[in-house]
Amino acid sequence: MPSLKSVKVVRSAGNFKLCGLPYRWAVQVRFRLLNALCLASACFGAHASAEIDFVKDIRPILANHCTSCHGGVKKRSGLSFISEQGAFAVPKSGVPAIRKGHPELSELITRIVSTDPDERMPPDGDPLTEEQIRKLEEWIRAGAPWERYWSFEPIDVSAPLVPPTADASEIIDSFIRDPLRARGFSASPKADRATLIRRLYLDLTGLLPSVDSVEAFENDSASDAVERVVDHLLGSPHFGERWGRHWLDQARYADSDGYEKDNARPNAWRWRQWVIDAYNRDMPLDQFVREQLAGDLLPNASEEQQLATAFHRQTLFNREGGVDPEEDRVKRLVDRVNTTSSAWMGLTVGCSQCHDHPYDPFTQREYYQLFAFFNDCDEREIQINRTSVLEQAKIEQVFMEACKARGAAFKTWRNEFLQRVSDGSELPKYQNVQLGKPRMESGGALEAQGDGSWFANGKADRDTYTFIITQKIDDLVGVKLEVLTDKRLPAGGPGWVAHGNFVLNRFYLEQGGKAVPISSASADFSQRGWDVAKAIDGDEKTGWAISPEMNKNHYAEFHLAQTVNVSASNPLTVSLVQNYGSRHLIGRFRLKALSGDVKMLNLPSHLFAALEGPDRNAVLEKYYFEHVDEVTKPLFAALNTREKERLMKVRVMTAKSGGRPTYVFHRGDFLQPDKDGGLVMPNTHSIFPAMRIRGEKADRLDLAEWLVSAENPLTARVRVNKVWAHLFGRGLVSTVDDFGTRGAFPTHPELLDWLAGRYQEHDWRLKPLVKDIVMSATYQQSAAHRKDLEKIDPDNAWLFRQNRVRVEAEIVRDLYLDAAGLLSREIGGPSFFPPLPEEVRKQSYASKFKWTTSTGAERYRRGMYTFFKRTAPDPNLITFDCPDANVANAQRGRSNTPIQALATLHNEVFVEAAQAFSKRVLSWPAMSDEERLRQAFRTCVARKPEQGEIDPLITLLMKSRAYYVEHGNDANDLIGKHAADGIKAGEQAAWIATLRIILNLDEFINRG
Amino acid sequence: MHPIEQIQQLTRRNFLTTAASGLGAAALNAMLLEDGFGASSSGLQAGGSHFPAKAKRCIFIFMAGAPSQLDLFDPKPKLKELHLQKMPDSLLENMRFAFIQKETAVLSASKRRFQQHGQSGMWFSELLPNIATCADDICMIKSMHTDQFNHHPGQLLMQSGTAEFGHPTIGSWLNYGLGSENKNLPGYVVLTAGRGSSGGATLWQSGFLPSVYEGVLFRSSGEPVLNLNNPPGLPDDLQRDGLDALAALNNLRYQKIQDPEIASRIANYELAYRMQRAAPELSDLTGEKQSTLDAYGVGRSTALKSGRGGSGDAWSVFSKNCLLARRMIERGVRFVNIIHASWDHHSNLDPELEFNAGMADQPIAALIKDLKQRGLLEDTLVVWGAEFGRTPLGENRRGQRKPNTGRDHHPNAFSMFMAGGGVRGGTSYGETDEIGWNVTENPVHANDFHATLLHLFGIDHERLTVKHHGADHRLTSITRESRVIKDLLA
Repeated sequence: MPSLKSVKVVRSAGNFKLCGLPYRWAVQVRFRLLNALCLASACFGAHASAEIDFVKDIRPILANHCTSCHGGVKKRSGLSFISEQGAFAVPKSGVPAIRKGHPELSELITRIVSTDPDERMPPDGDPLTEEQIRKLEEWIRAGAPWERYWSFEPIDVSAPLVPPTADASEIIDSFIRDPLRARGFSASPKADRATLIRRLYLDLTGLLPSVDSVEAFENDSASDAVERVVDHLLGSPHFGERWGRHWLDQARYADSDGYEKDNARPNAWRWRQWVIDAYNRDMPLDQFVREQLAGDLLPNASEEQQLATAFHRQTLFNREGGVDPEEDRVKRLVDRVNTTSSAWMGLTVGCSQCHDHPYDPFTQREYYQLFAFFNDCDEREIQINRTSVLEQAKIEQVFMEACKARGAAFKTWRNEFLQRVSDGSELPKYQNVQLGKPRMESGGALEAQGDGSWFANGKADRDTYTFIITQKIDDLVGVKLEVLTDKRLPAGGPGWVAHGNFVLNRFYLEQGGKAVPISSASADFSQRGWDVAKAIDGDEKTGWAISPEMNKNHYAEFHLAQTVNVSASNPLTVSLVQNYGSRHLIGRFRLKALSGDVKMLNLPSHLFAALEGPDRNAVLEKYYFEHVDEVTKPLFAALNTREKERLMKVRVMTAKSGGRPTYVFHRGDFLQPDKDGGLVMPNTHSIFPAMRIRGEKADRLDLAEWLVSAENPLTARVRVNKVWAHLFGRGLVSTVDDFGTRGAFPTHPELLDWLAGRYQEHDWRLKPLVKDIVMSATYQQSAAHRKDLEKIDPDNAWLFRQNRVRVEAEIVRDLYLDAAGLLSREIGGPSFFPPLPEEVRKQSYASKFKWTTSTGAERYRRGMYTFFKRTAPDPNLITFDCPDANVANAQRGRSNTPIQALATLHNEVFVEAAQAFSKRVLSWPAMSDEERLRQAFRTCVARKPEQGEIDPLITLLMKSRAYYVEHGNDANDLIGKHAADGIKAGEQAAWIATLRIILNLDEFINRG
Repeated sequence: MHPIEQIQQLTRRNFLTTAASGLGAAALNAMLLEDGFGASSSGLQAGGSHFPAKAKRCIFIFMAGAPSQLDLFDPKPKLKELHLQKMPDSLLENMRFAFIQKETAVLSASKRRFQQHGQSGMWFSELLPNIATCADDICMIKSMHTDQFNHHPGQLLMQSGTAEFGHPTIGSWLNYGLGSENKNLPGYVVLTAGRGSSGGATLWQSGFLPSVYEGVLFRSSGEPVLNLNNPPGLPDDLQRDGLDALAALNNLRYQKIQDPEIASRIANYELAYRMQRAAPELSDLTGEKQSTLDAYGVGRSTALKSGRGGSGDAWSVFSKNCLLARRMIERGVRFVNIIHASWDHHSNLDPELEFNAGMADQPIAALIKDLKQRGLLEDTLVVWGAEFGRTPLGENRRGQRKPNTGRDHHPNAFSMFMAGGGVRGGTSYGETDEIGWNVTENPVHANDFHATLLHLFGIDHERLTVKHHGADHRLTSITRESRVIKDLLA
């Protein structure tokens, strides 16, 4: 290893570049240098000299002691220490606060060292420490160099000098382990296989690994064993659920409006579906941003792209009586501005709604520039497909595969069909029929028209026409009724009523005094609600009609249930009952008889038409799989049903044509627009690189493109930091939601930038990034605490071990149900209603708020699908720190409370899980109690229990048995609805009493 | 690191030093003192305060919906003269209403008779005869004002200091700052009677503080706390045996990987078990004398026809809530919020107010007297409050000339009162103009009230802060300069 002296250090844009060294050396040396100067919590921007560092030494003093009076809100004496310009401005007194190079002439120093209480700064509290004063003096002496804040600087993708062969995970490890080693410590050993696979399952899907998969993984010595598990999990559709839920937190997703009325939003889930799909498809972040912020503005925006804009329809809506709609609209806009800034840029711009930002370099006017993007929007509802594109594709896929599998059946059918066709005599044929004894019940006249048709000349409002067919017809399989236009009819017919409609209430046939059963009816057109089938349903109040398609010829076909022979000795009577009234009567009509092969009868004419065409096979195939084959027909019907019920209304954003004028609101009050200050145009903060504008005025699409542009210093950093936080329980920047000047410095700044760069190289895709990280030794190391380091680095900022993390509220419930074998793995769809205590329901002001607890498998859906009522959220969620969805949330709390213990010990959902778990455990093949307990233990926490962990459980099981053998009623109560077949109640109850303790282990709800 | 994390880390480190060799009884006790319901995990020195505290506990009686101060506390004889007359346009100019149509609105006098009570001659209407007898212990603020004029935002402002979502409520701040005095009960309890409030669960949220500081909803009958009882069919012996096995297993794991969160979990299961005993004991009124029950009105029937304020047993439930509040205070619960919704009298003000006042008057008076008699009033602050007040104008939402017997939302001027806990009893503070439209003297913004409340607990409202999203947040909104109203202090 070269000596430190031989390393040439070149400072560049706040970072170092080490020249002439191979990568690995470079990283090590770099961190040795850093280590000499700083601790992990504040090592960003440290310099390889004893010089004062503005970022590390000076800005914190100014931010903590000066900016509350000399900042963005208050600029006492005209001074503001949040920007270079403000700090070096000549204040009202005319005496500059800082004279570069001359601390003795700088008013700042004079005031902080003053002993006169009227002079001394800061005026309240303790004076600055000598150390702080010394630093400020040295800094001014050195010329008071001002540096921009690290997170506003471009992402440095130049470092490190990665050798082309280096594996991304190894690089990550170098970033973490080299500085750790430089401090004289080593990383933790790899976690054992059981812990690792459980960690991966929980982090990537939020589900338990089965004992089988744990064992397989334990026994898998192949070098790619971990990678195969990771790939499997990244490909699982539950990945989209797990990571989509993280995004829902930031989008303040809920199923109700919020505020007093808190009306339900029954279709809100459709956007949640979009999110899950986006994660499962691994939609690149640039597209993810573009569609959610401006999907409606994309060229030829698809339904799904429009739906994506519902991201900003998750805002609360106040329907309380007397709310000023404009005030509430402005509130929603403010939320949109704040959420956009926090979700993608990790900035809290909210303060600058009323005044310039107190400590970040954002002006109030700039706030309204962001506001203007959303002020140019309207809130709309659109109709979209209920089934998401992915889901639809899945159903189609199933259908297509079934068709493939049924190829042989199709060939058989086709050949038979073609055979019948070639034997032409069997084709169904139409023929005109002679009608005898025409009669109108009202007494009018049915007049023959020479072309086989009849004109009904009557005066009554209601009527029934009857005929007799005596002509010899063999193999009669149906009757066709043609209704025809005629100039003598009002409006040209075919009916007698003024607009030409009619109602055929009943069509029936009789032979030998008995009704001839009609199996089906079809028509070329039926009026909505007046389908031709209603002419044969036996109900004379319903019938067949044709509005609005009057003045056209139409026909209806009535097919017989079986073949009938007609002759003079065996005549057929035809009746047309028309009793709707107001002359809804057929004016002119013709009857035709159908005879031939019944099997061929119901085949549509286009099949016959296609017989000679080039696509004959395709037409037949389509018809067969959709309507004939017993396997594929129901699948097609399911597809079709979805088509029919497919439309639903969703809330989206659209551009308001021409936009709305935006002004700065004085003190943030929407009633006080500062019109003198002039119109505010949509734009971003001037501290960041300028945005490119496509048209004359910037719009949301420009904003989206700007957010994901290569020059944006924040979006990629914020994103990879959140991903890191989800995988380690803590971000490289610990304030994941605050990258502003009061936020934390990154513990590993170069890793952060390297990951940000790598992420962009991966086309902003999440899955490769997650894979890079989880494949690292840093991720895979043990989470056990270490005596040597806990006191030195209590936050584990150096990542000398993994962090142990209690899983989120939804996942707590999922794990219980998963272990119990109850969990429904259905992905997506509407929200469900878990059991909710009455008094929680009553919390809501809305007296009409109903909560119908879901039944069957619905009841056991994953926690993320819980119907989230903003004013009465499910306590099982809130107790475990699920955010309340009223504001965007970037990082959940992880509290540890007695109320949680009460919930998992006693709440209905968790008790039910214990009941069902006992049923599952007792269904396993015969084995000893101890074996069974071991297996149950592994089911929950993956690893094998130690003997010391099994003994107390066996003791508990014995005690419980002794009790429940004697107390049958208690046993039945404890078992509830989940009685196991063939197991005595006392035995099952004893297992429940024992298994609930395994389910309550700390380890069960922790990701180790 | 988040300051809360820092604090938690601190308690964990303490734990590590005391429990390095295992989880003995002493260590468990240490855990119970430090974790669970948040004792000593505060921005203050453990159990301390910025300056000597007068109040240690608070019962906040929150009349959600906003009662009419003009019919209860702030008599305006001038309104009788001006009854059914229009308001001067100058007053209406920048005023916003929920429902009132400005063009046709007219003033509406109170039908109530007012009398002066106690040595200070404090005004109360005939609707609150019992509370009136506590006049010498009461500190009445007639000059309250707020920024919000819709219910939910207004309620949030009163309970959490800001109309924004996601901030801790008063009870969360007090427990965060001071911890709890009883480890077996939550430090922040919510009791409700009647229908839900506009704010629902957001009124006892812990916001950006950990959920351990969230209010715990208590029921006045049945299982007192959600999930308190053993599952059906599980006897106490087996619960105890099960929890012992659980502690043993968790402890083995703790020995192995030394994560202090496991130790916290062990302690929390023990706390849960203790709460299973403490909460029913708290709710069990059999030890109370009949005279006490009668004084509070526990078991009384609702004497008036039911109104919006609740059906059936609303009066008795409210009485029981007041008595439970005293029992909680006795057991060291830091903050009890008794919430009763439905004071939003846009119409039928007279009968509805009679109903609600009939419900509230006797038990609240009994509570104040009971606390006093037991020597608890000295360091227990009792508050009557709401999100705003009601207009001297009659409500006329359809623009009709004749008011429809109700009043609209009025954030400009309203009344609240406090008793005990170091406030100056027998004081009326602040004045409103002759029709009660605006504050004319000694205005008290809702945040000033918060600053004063914290002051009574020995807390400097500007120093009890939590960093969230970069800003040092506090109960008194950071966008406003709030002040302690010294004149309210004894």
